[in-house]
Amino acid sequence: MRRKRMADYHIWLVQMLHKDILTKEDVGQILDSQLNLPEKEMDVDLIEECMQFLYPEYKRGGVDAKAQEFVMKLVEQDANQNKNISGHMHSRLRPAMLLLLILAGVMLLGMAIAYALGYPIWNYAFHWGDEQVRIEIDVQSPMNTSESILPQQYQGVGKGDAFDEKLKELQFDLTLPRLPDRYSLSNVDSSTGGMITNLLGFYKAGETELHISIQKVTDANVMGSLAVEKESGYEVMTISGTSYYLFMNIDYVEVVWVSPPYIVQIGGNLDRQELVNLFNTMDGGENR
Amino acid sequence: MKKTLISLVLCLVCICFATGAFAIEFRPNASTLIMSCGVYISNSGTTITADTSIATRITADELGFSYIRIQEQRGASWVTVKSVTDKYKLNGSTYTYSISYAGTAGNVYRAMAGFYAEDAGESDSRSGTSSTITAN
Repeated sequence: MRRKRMADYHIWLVQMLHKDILTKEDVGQILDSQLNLPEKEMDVDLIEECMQFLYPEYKRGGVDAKAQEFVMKLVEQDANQNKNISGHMHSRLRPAMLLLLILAGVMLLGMAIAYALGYPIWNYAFHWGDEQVRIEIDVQSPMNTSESILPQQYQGVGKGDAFDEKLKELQFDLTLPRLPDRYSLSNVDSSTGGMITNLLGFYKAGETELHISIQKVTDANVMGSLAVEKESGYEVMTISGTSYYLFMNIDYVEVVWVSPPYIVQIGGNLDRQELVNLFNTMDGGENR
Repeated sequence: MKKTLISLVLCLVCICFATGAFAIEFRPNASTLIMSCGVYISNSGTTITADTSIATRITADELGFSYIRIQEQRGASWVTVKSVTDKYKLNGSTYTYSISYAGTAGNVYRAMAGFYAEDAGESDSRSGTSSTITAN
């Protein structure tokens, strides 16, 4: 029965070829479509007939069992080729994906730890909260400092040290926070040019460093500006009607305020609350 | 292939959200050295004076001004009428400098300055512009 079917296929194909209905390319496509079918759906006899027409050497093979074996070998080779390609792709990507996942995990953990420690890392990654504060000072009335009388209770930062002495020498008449006893002066520097006089004091308390910077503008009709560039937002403290700008940066905090003709900056690598407590020593200071 | 692509996209999303953990290392603190810098302009009659000031958080190896300019407004543009460059002080934490110019009554002036500080190989620089003033 099978041989008869084979012969029928043979006749059919020959007739198709002679009638120019099927070309060798057509037979090749028929063979390809059969070989792409699942093994159970393949028509082995049809495959064999197509093979006989396309490959004369196969025709000389002649035995059904050998033909089936040949065809199945073709099918197997094709299946293995596809398997190797996809397996090759997976084996390349797997280590790379694993590495990416580990990297992502480490970074996520780092981010969580940074936030737990209070570092606003997003502000620095994406420049969120970038702030440039421009503090203007405009002194319309002349300040005749040579005739100014210092308050009798004037004590500077309350240390009686070289910084306080310099404040008196330069006749800087302004209210400053009182520094705790643990702070000791490490350096004082000053400069005068034109209408500007700067005074800087550097204090230390163990690992904590604190700086006090006072800039005085001493002439009339001064129109100027101090650009204070900060990387994060600021809070505002109000003490006796004066606004104090509290800036929080990565490694230091700072308070800046204007009390014409002075611009004052006090800050260091201390925590926010400690700095706020310093300002609470000033009259009217009730900030928390 | 679809599963691979989805996994890859998820990995990239995770990396993007976690990038901030390393931002502290890669983004320098712009305010490391210079604590404050200011440029001021004033006039005494038609004499225009620009005063500049810089203060650093530590005693710096070098600090000062890369340039200081007085500019006069002419139409829609500003023209530099007086300038100095590279005014520095060594081993200090504050420095001030002034320049003056004989202006013209009725003209508008402003001052500009470039600030610079350096210590132990680390440097910081800024620039600033004053408000305007009219010579009288």
